[in-house]
Amino acid sequence: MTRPSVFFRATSLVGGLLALSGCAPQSASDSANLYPTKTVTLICPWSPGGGTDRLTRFMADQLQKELGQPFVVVNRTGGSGAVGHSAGALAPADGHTLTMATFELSTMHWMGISELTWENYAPILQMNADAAAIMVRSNSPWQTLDEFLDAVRANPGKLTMSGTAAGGAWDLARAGLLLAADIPVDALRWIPSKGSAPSVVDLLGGHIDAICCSVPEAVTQIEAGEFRALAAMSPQRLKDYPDIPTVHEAGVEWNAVGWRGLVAPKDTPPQVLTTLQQATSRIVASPEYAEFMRKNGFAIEVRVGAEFSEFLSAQDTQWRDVISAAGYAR
Amino acid sequence: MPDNDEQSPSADTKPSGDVWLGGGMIVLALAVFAFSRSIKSLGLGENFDPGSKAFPLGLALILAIGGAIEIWHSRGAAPSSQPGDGRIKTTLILLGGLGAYVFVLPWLGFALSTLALGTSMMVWLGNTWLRSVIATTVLIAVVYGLFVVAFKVPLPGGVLNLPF
Amino acid sequence: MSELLQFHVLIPWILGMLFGIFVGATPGLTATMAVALIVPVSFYMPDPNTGLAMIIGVSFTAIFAGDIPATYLRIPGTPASAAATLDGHQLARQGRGPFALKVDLLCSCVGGLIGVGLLMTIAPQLARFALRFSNFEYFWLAILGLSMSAVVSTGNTRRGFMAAALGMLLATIGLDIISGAQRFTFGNAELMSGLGFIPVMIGLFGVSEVIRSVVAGLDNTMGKTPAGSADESNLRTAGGALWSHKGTVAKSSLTGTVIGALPGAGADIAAWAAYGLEQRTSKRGAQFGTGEVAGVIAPTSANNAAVAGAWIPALVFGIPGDAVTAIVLGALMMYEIRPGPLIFEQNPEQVSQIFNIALITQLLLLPCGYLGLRLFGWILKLPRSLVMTGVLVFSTVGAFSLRNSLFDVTVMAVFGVVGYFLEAKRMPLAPLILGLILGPMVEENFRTGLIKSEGSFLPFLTRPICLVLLALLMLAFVVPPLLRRFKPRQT
Repeated sequence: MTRPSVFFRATSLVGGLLALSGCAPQSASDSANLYPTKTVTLICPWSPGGGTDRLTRFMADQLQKELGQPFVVVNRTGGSGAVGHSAGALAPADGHTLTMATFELSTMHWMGISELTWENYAPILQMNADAAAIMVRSNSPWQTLDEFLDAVRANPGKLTMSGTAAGGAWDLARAGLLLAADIPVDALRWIPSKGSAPSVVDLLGGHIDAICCSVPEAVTQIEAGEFRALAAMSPQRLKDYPDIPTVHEAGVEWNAVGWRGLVAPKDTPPQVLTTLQQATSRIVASPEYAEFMRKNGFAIEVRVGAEFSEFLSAQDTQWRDVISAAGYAR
Repeated sequence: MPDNDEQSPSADTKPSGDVWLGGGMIVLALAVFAFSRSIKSLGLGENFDPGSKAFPLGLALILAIGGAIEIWHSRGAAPSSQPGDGRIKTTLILLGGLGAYVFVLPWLGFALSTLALGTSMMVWLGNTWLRSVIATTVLIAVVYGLFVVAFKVPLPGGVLNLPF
Repeated sequence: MSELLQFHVLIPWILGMLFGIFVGATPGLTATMAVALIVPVSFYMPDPNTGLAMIIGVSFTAIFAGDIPATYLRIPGTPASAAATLDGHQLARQGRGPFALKVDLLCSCVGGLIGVGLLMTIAPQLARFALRFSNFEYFWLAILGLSMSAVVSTGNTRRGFMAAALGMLLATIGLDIISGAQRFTFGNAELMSGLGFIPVMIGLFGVSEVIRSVVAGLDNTMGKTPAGSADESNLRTAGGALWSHKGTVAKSSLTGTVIGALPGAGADIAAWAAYGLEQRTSKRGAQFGTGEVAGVIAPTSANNAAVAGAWIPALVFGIPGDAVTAIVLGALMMYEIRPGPLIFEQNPEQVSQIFNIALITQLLLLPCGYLGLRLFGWILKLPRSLVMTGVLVFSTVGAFSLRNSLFDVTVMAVFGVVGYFLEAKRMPLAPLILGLILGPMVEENFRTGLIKSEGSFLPFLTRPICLVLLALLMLAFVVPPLLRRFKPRQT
């Protein structure tokens, strides 16, 4: 199968940002632009206290400073993100209800959880993308991804891996990796779990063989020498973890990220979108943002407007193929 | 706990079952059996998972058996004491009010519908109109101050777009 | 430690804890929500110690506060307080509510201190032990908690098990995480995430209580001395009761800490396991559920100890033991505290700071909790019609604000009616709510266990910890019928 290669073009984040923030730094006070006129609601499709929630609350704080109206975070959880995402898509398209969209937007409609696709929204700005990675215990026999995949090939159905629920982000990342390496998807048994934290416990306790999740989710164990990261599913080595090889170095052409980005309902007026894009671009270029992301261990990856749309469209195609190959398609 | 048993909640010495409870459980179990046919398992082939239907069906079976025993034990026992007419009427009015509240909440918003429900409930419980309105208003003001202002938890505003 | 005992730290700290008391005591607002709400506030504190103290303080107060409405009104404020609706509420019906709550407060404090003590001394060892729990062990643990709640519940055991099965069945609604299948969702997106146990719990206990007391006439049900005017107790008498049950306190706190330390189990199971264990081993086991003091002591010592226990895997591995700790861990990152295997070596002063805050919090719980229970007692002196209207209003807000969902308000109302009818038929409600909470734990661990063992049931029966849990389970099932046979109950 083929993967769209446009998908992971190394985006010239900084360049794009500077250009944008340079052209209209004061547009919030522009007389032609009255938005926002009242409290803006930011919908977070995930529960309070989680990573997405923290990011949403940070953005709400910053946007309030930028645009001068209160930004309130509302957690609309449920249905693997479907409830919050659809509430955000159905809201009035006046820019006073925005959504922190996440990875699941690219997958849930293929799995029959929701009818929503990214085309129900007007993308504003992508803020973050964390690459998936494969981790094993330090005392395990596998030193590299190659050795691990050879073990999977040699013992189909014997080795176990965990990280999310069935059909969750990291399960699909694993399925895509196996497909790209020409290994049947069920050769590596997926142990469904409620999230990455329980699977980290399972790996620590020796109850499973490997986990697949983003690096920050297991970074304490990696730094403590309990886990070894075999490979990250990104085109280049991760900026924050340069010691971890990529899957491409092992000859597997595959990328997988969990991303977060701010979106508005589809028919939001262009001038409102412009205001929001400029404000969010200024925020993500600020040292506060870099500091916040570093503390939380989130990787910064910014795409604005049309570029974000392209990314979403490429994600959509990529995951459609994986989902149908993994047997999760509706 | 039974509502008129002041002594001990576990004092029901008679082991009798209840036809309605048993019957209800069996009906529920049958519904589960019927609806679980439409559950589609996703995912790839054989991974030793007993499947997403196993637990609902097993639990429905337990409920059905429990319901059957319940009915079995109710044989010969006097039919469970029926509450008086006044009680049934009270219950129905209350349930109707609760249903109406949930129904109008999305339209009228939290403040108005709660004012209506709270006031009518207090009047019904023997308070004067004025007192009921004041008490409910104070209650709503407290909720507004705590949730909307202090905790920043938005409450439903309804179609009138009230603040909550 | 001295930098903690200053006004600019203590004042926000105590205010935060009072806030935790309020949120915990409001049906529908949980400890999780209390912490989630206080975290952003804490970031505004100029001194990081203050912020940290507020967060940890709130995380330890909300569960005790949940026992207050559970005792007075039989409406648990948090799921971990459901066990307090048994003996605590019976005591309140006898006019001894304040006494029950004072015992409860002391137990929460002592349980918390024991939990924190274990955290400070043997956290690494306990955490390593907790790692030996896998799906097979969690399966039995969940079964154990569930059947404890079913057999100890008032009413008959058959209905207890039926209620538990009903709760588990309700828990299957939604997206199945093992296979990704949708179960009983009827295409409704809100149902996809399942019935939240908070709206169901508020409905079953809160709304049904309103319906019942209105239908029965306000003065008829437990209207007598709800605030306990006949109660002459003070902290000294409560302390006396605690001292005469010191074995129970120790045992339950230990149970609570160990269960709390398991990353897959929390304060709710801990409370029931301790209650069940105490009922099994107590000479007065048959009196449990009728207002026995030990029935107040066991679950309330355990649930607060479990909160401390949840810190064990959190600090040692950076893995949250429950939902509250998960939020706290997220907040710690903002304070540049990264719990994990390295924190003990690299930042021992951060660890000891957390320990100090946790210890002082237990002591601050006494005045804060005392104020809370006095305030709640005053509220109960208001006209009962107003109290019931207030319960209804706060229940609605609680159900709504959890997920900002009107659907959850509907769920609450429906389960209010269901709870009212089930109670009229003498079906115990506690096992139902436990079934709803633990049902997914039973099912997911059973099925995941089978996936891991390639379809073999043997690990469920042969792993050493499984055997111990299985033995406890047998004890729970075999003993009560014998007790009932040989010890006819008299009041």
